Amino acid sequence: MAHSHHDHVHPHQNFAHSEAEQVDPHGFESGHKHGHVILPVMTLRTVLTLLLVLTAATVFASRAEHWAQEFFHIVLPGWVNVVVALSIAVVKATIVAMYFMQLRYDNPINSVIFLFCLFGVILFMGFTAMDLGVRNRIYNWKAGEVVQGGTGGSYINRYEKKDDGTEERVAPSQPLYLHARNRLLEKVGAEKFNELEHEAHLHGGPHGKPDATSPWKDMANLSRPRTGTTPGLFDAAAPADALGSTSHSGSAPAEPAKSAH
Amino acid sequence: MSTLPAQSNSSGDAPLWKKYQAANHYRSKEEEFDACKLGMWLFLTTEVLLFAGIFVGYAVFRMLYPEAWANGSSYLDWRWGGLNTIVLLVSSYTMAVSIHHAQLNNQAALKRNLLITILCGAAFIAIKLTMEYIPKWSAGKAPGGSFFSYPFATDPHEPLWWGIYYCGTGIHALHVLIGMSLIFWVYMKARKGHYGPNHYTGVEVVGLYWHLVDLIWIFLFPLLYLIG
Repeated sequence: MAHSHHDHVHPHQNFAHSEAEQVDPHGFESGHKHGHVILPVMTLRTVLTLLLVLTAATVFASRAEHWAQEFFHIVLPGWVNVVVALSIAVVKATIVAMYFMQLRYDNPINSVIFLFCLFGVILFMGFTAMDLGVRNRIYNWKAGEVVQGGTGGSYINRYEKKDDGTEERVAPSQPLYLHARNRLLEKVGAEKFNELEHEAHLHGGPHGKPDATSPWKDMANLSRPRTGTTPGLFDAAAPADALGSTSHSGSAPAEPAKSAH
Repeated sequence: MSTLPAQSNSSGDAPLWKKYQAANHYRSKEEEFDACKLGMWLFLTTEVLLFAGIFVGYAVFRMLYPEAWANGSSYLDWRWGGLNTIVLLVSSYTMAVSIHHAQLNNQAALKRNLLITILCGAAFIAIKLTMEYIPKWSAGKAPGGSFFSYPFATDPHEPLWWGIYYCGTGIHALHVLIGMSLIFWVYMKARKGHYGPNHYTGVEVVGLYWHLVDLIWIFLFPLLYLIG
C-alpha cells in the first residue's frame, strides 16, 4: 500500500513506457487551464446574495401584481407576470450555471453540451406553444356551418376596403353560388338582374332568345336550367328560392308539402 | 466531529488524497477530472430533458386550462415556496464553498459545509412534506383519478393541475433525496481524507448534481407558486 509517490508522479510510470511517452508527446497536458479555478468565498457569497435578491424581486413582482389588482384595480395582462418571473428565473439559472457550476471557468465543451440540451428544451417548448397558440385560428376557420356546395373559403380571397383604407380579407359566409349571384345582384340591381338571368337561360325554346347586347349572347354560353325537370330535386338549392326572387318561368314545381293548397 | 483514524490512516505518512492516482486509462488526474465532469454534464442534460417533459406538460395544460392553473397556483403559499428557494440557494452556496475548501485542503471546513448542505436538503424536504404535501393531500388536493377528492374545486381541470404539481415537485424532491445521499457519501469519504487539492472530483461532480437540483427549483418555484 504505502506508495511514496510525489503529487506529480505520472500514473503511467507504473508501465514500462518509454521516456518520450511519459513526457506527454501529444501535449495533452500543456495548456491545461480550466476546471481547477479556486473561486474565492467572497465571490460565492456575492453570487448567493445576488440570487437571494433576485428571488425577492420575483416574489415582489408577483405580489405587486396582486396588490395593483386588489387596491388600485389595475389588471395587468397575465403574460406580464409570466415574462417577468421567467426572465428572472433565467437570470438566476445563468448565474448558478456560470458560478456555482463554474461553467464560466470550465472547459467550453461542457457549456456547449448544456446549451445544446437547452436548445432541445426550447424546441419542445417552442413547437408546443406554436401549435397550441394558433389553434384558435384554425378552429375559427373550421367553425363555419356546413353549406351545400361549400363556401369556397379556401379559394376565394375576397378583400374589402375598411374605413382606414386597409384591406381586410373577408371569409365568404354564404355558399359559393350564392356569393356569385349576390355579387352581380348588388352590382346591377334587381331589375337588371332578372333581365340578365332571363336572357341567360333558355326556357325551353320560345322564351329565351339570344340578345345581341347581352353579355351571354353567345349561344354556347346559354344554360338550360334544370330546376323543375325532376320535381323537388333542386328546391333547396334553387337560386331563385334562396334569393326570394321570382325571375323566370312558372316552371317551379310545387313542393309536395305545399301541394295541398 | 471526531477525527477519524482515517485522517491519519494506517499507512501513516500522508492523507488519502495525496496518494490518489488516476485510473490507468487516463494520462493524468487532470484528464480524469475533465472526463468525469464531461460525463456528469452529459448526464445532467438527460436530467434537464426529463424535467423538460414536465415543464412542457405544464405549459400545455396551462394554455388549455388557464383557470385551473390560476386556481391551483392560489392553493400554494408562496411563502413556503420562497423559504424553500432560499434554503436551496444557501445549500448551493455551501456546496460551492465546500469545493473551495477541498481545493485549499481545509478539511474541517469542507466537512462542515457538506453537512450544512445535507441539512438544507433535509430542511427542504421537511418543509415540503409538513407544509405542503401532507396538508394538501389530506384535504383531497391530490392528482386526478383515484386520489383527487377536494370538494371545493371550481374548475373541472384542477385534478390535472395537482397531477403536474406532484409530478414536478415529487421528481424534484426525489432528486433532493438522491443528492443528499450522494453528498452524505462524499462526506463519509471526506472524513476518511479522500479529498484535497490533489483530488476532489467526487465533491465537484456531486456538487454539479446538487446545483442542477437547485436550477430546476429556480424554475419550478415561479411556475407553480408565483404566476397564477
